[in-house]
Amino acid sequence: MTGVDRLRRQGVRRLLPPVSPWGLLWLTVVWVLLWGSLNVLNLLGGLLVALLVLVLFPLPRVDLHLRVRPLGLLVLLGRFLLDLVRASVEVAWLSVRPGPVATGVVMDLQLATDDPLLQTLTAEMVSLVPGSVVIELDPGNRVLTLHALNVRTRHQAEQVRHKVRAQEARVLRALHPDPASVLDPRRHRNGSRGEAPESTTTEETP
Amino acid sequence: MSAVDVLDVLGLVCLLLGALLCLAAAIGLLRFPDLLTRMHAGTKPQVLGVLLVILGVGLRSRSGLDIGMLVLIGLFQLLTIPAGSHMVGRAGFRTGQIAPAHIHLGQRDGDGDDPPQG
Amino acid sequence: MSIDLVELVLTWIVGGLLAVSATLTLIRITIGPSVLDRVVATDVLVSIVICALGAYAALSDAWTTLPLLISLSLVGFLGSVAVARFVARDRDTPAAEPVPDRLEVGGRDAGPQPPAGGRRTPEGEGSV
Repeated sequence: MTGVDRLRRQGVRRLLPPVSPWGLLWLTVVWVLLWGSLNVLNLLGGLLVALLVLVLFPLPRVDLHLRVRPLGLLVLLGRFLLDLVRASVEVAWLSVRPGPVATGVVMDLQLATDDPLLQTLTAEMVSLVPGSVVIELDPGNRVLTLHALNVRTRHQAEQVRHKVRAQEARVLRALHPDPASVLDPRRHRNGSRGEAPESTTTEETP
Repeated sequence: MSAVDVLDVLGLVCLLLGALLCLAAAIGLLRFPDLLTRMHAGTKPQVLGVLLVILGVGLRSRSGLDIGMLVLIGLFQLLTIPAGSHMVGRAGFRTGQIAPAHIHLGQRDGDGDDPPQG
Repeated sequence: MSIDLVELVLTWIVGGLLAVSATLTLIRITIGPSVLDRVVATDVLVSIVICALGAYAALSDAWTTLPLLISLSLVGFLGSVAVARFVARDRDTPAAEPVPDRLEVGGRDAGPQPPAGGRRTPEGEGSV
């Protein structure tokens, strides 16, 4: 059966070059999982449907220059789950605790990477963790605008920024081909923060 | 008490935690003062609550392909929730539904004088 | 103490918790005060429904609800995206004039408001 679908895949690739094998694989896996049983018919049907989808609704090509590091990925996912649980408990406590209700602030934050995919990934993970909601992402200027819960002092705001940057660093370490080149100069700049009169990209109007 | 029973009870505990998160979110939804803070409350059941319930279902089902389907549910949830919450948050931000406490902090520390209050 | 009894008690507790959460969320949907608040609350309601269906599947071994869960988790966000798109229409460029922040058509003024009438002021004036 592997011979059949390899043959099929190769023949199709000759006919229709833009179909990506990863998309095909992913859609087939989803199809099989949706059917709930693994057999030849499901596999072939899934391949057929995946091909149809990929041919009829072609996606723009995304240039992925990523390098997946298993260890970094593990750290990323593990830390994400930990953050998720911790932040959920925190926000749950904030919402049920007696006394004054929590408020939050909107803040801007400079990201380190230019890669739109990694930026998106960072923003998604920040958004999934309770306590921070991403409002805006400006890929060109690398500015992430987010709303953070229960921030009252500048110190707390700085802590949130630090968290988001750490999240981004983990994403970079898991997927970026050369994380040191992106992370190090920024750290350097952070050390002399305050003096550098950079062009402020803060949004003035909501 | 056999191992299967332990798994069953663990699954029940996951369900219970998920339900508790839902309750906390609902209370937060009622108590929090404005749109964006309410969105924070809503993220909990949408992400961790659903994940916990899925985990509970998986612990009690123990058949491989059901678990595949459960993984898909979790994946779809994780992929789609940020899109929705981002759109709602942006819409709220742009239409100005933000309490005055939500001071827009600038990019870095040094560019403001007084700390935001409250 | 048998497993069955534990299961029974926990089942009732889970069901009760979810029912109370759904009711509270419905209250938020009812009182608003803005369209977006209702959208957020509706999203929460969808995830409570997902949790409830999952709990039902786990507690009564009704595995046929799983496809339902998949479709819910796939399309649950579409409604909120559509409404957010509609509310935020024409605001893709930052507006110079203060944005009208009252989204209701009227008649909601007597309804509960956030403290200090906060929603009246456009946000930008608070920039530090």
